[in-house]
Amino acid sequence: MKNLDQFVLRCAVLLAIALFPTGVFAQGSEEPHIVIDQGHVAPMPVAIPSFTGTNDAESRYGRDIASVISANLERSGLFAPADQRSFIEREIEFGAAPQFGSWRLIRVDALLNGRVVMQEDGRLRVEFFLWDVYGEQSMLGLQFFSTPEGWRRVAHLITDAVYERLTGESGYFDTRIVFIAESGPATARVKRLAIMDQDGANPIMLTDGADLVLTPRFSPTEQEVVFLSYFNNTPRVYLFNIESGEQEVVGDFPGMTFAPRFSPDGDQIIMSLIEGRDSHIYTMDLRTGQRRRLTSGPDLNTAPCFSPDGRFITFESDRGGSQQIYVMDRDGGNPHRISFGDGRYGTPVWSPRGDLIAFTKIYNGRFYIGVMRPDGSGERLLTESFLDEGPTWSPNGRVLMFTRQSPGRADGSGASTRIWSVDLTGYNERPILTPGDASDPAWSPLISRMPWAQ
Amino acid sequence: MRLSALLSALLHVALLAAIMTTFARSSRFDLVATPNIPVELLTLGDVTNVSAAVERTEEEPPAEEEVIEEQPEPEPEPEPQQMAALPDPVMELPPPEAEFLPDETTEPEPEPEVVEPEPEPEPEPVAAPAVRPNVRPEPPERRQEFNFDQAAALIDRAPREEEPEFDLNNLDLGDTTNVQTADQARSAVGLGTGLTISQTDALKANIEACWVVPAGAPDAENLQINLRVQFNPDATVRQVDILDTIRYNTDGFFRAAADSARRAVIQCQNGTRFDGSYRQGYDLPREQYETWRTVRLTFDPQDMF
Repeated sequence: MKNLDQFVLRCAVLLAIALFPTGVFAQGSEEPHIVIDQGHVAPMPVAIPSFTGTNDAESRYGRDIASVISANLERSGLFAPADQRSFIEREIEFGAAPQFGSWRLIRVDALLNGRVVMQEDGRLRVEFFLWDVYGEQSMLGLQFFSTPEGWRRVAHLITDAVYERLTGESGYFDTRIVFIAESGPATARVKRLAIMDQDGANPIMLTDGADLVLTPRFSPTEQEVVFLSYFNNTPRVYLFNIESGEQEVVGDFPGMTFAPRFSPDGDQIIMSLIEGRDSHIYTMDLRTGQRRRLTSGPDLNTAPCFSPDGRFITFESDRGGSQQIYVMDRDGGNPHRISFGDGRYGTPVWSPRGDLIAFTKIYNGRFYIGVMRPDGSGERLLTESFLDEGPTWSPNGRVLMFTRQSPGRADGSGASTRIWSVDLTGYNERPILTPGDASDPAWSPLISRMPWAQ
Repeated sequence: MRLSALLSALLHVALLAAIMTTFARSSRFDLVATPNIPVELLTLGDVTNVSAAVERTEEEPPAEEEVIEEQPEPEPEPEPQQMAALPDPVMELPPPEAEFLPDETTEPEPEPEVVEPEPEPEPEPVAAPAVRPNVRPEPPERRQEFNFDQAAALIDRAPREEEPEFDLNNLDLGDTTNVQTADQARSAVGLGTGLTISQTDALKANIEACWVVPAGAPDAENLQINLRVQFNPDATVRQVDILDTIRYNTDGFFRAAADSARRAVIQCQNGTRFDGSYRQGYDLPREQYETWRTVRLTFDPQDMF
């Protein structure tokens, strides 16, 4: 009996000890949990003071670089660079933390502080720190070396790095736009192939305008442009190397209406050729020259474009009775329609991000630039005008450029053809600076394609 | 033996057969589908978390203690025996709390069942300030019995001969900046340990004014950010921690969205209200600091898309 009592007593004690913690903490109060589900969309205010320099030359580069970065970020629509005259702290020591309080007073979220050094070897060294004003810490710090003439590219590379750190998206500022520069009266239009930086700087004419040039496209892997021109009234495809300035003939393609596009790996081109009353899509291997037909039937199939992973092709076809957008496998299998709204659809272009297809839509006499998901859902129209067509994507799949024609007055004057850009959310529709009328823009991939790890 | 087994088997089979034939012929029971009306029993305490009104700050006890000390003097019989007898009409009306303190020394439970004859402030249930304002040195004899009826009878509004030591209309409450007086008093609903719905809404509104949503990111509507915020007693922000450091360091979109959420919390701690008044710190009840000292915030943009 005594053993039993002891046993029971021990059990009771153990139980009490085991349960004690739960008893004590059972009534602990939890921390409140609150869900914030409403915010707003607004450009991020940033401060970009001129990059500092120790002499006049450096200071001039510093001012110009800061001003190009500022203009890039403002044009993206996602940032609002603050006016330099509002800055309170004027002399920020490079590398040291700024007076965050004074930057909070002018309500900026980030501060880009940089300097320019002209080295003895003649190279320009440009370095910067990106500061988080509210978190009071450095977000990014980088250094670039360049020839003095390359200061603009340095400014674009810095913009890409800052943009990526602040939005998570890769940038698109170190890129070029190839387009058709138009001039002259409507009856004697001169069209020349031209190229410029994405901000409109450094425009260069690549052809002399003697022959008609159409639909330039960028190669995804090389700094090369392919375009269509007419030689003896025959459509001829040219390959133009931007770095060297040389051009070569890819071939004569009777019946071609659009210039070909490249596959994402750069080994193939895809094009549409008119055959009699039909038009069909072909791929051609650039190494072997072998062609392959992907569509069949008495239809007009044209404007093909690869998906960024190369597995699918989107194109325009009237096989359903009207001009609509289709998607098929890269070998031509499983063609299916994805556009089902009112009106006609054309010029599909697959976003480099893979998540959207941009297109031109014609409805009730008006033209629209729109996007939809590759399965056809989520159609959104981003612009509307008298004539908008031919969208091209930025390398990060965030911005579209397209051609916009404005009708002239009754006497034929006042008409214009310009390149415009719009963000994929539909905001920030704005014209692009070009030397005169321009059409058919094509956006290059990032020139350097370097990853920006912090 | 074999005969009985056989008989048993036969009877079993017969029974089974009977059962099967009977039920095969019976009509099916058609169940009438009654619509289920889901009834959820909610008590108010489940959806909000109102703590009883704070009645006074630390400065109170001295004022009341004076009153209490003085009371035994004019009264010739402060002993508990007097409580059992009929109340003396000339007896001072004691401060309300003194009568209603339970005999036990345990903390009063902030339950709604506590009966209050008049809308008087309850003793504070949460230990927010270190000093509980209702603690006072009670003479032990007074707490031996607690009789509600007699307590009710003690509330005697008959005119008194002596001027009361304090005037109910002109109570010296000391520092009233953080006091909710009896006219704002309320009984507790729920545990009273957290923030009420209106308090969380106020904090939400404060922060939402500063939150910029990253709009164009791919799959932006699924970009949820969790933060833990530690507050100072004046409701300014002491620290913000992003909960998911691995994703922060690997996913650029997540990092940008998390930075934006953190910035919103830091940016909006001081601000201007809609009516133009300036607020220093968030709109959180200062006297309940322990309930919101650490808060978990989830920024969820999916309703905006």
